[in-house]
Amino acid sequence: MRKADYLIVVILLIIAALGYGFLMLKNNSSHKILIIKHDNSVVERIALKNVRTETKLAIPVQDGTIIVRYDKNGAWVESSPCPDKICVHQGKITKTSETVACVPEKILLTIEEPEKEAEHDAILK
Amino acid sequence: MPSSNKIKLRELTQMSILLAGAIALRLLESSLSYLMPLPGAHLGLANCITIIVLYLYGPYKTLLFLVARVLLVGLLFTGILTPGFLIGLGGASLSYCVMAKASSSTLLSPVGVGLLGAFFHNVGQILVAIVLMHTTALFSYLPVLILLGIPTGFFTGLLAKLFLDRLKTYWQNK
Repeated sequence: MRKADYLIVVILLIIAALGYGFLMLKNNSSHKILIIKHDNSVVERIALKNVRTETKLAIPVQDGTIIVRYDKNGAWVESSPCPDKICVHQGKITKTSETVACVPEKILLTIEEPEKEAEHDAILK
Repeated sequence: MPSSNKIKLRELTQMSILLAGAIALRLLESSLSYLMPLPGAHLGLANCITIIVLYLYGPYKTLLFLVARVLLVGLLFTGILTPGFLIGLGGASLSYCVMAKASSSTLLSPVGVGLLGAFFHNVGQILVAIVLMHTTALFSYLPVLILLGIPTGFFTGLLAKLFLDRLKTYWQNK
């Protein structure tokens, strides 16, 4: 172990901490929108605060059907025909800018904030 | 230690054994991946072999070694040109470029090379995934991957260092 090795550990920790801090800053919104994309086009766009009960969504993909579930807190992939099932193991996402990706089936779940303008009651020009 | 770019028969044999070891370790850790706290995360034991090859045979021969490893792992597990293969390729090529530079530096021990390798492996994988999925949302994975890469990179680098140190004392005593 040399000095520069420890320096790398410190730098990596700082980068990770900055990354976490940046994500935390974006996570303070209560109004969340779930966006489901397949092959880079939006399949569903759901305002989670309007969701009352847990809902199941079946999306046809290359190798079969992917099952997505969502409730008022967040969303998760219940089952997928992909080989590695990383998307299923990722579990539930609840915060803005969190993501579940199934790369083999080109499915992407993200939670985003509504557009900034929509939060204002009116914009005077 | 690394001499010319011409591979001697002796080196070819040694590298082939190390290649077989790297692939066996890759298989072992994908069957152990359920132990990891994050889906799809690996310990990076195959990277430990890459570091050893880098220090013993130099960057040029390591490149050949890595091409063989990535292709064979593709043929055996993920399939050639599948998303999983491309993501692995992105991670391997970026971490190779950085580790090849870092291993020739006298400032770093193999532990530092392992840490850098783990970090740039993650960055390379995420970059390829971002291109494949057309979204920058995947950047949100990076902090946790970087954090996880610190102990795993440290561990693989340390293993490589212990191996190289033992090899050195063995050669000296011979």
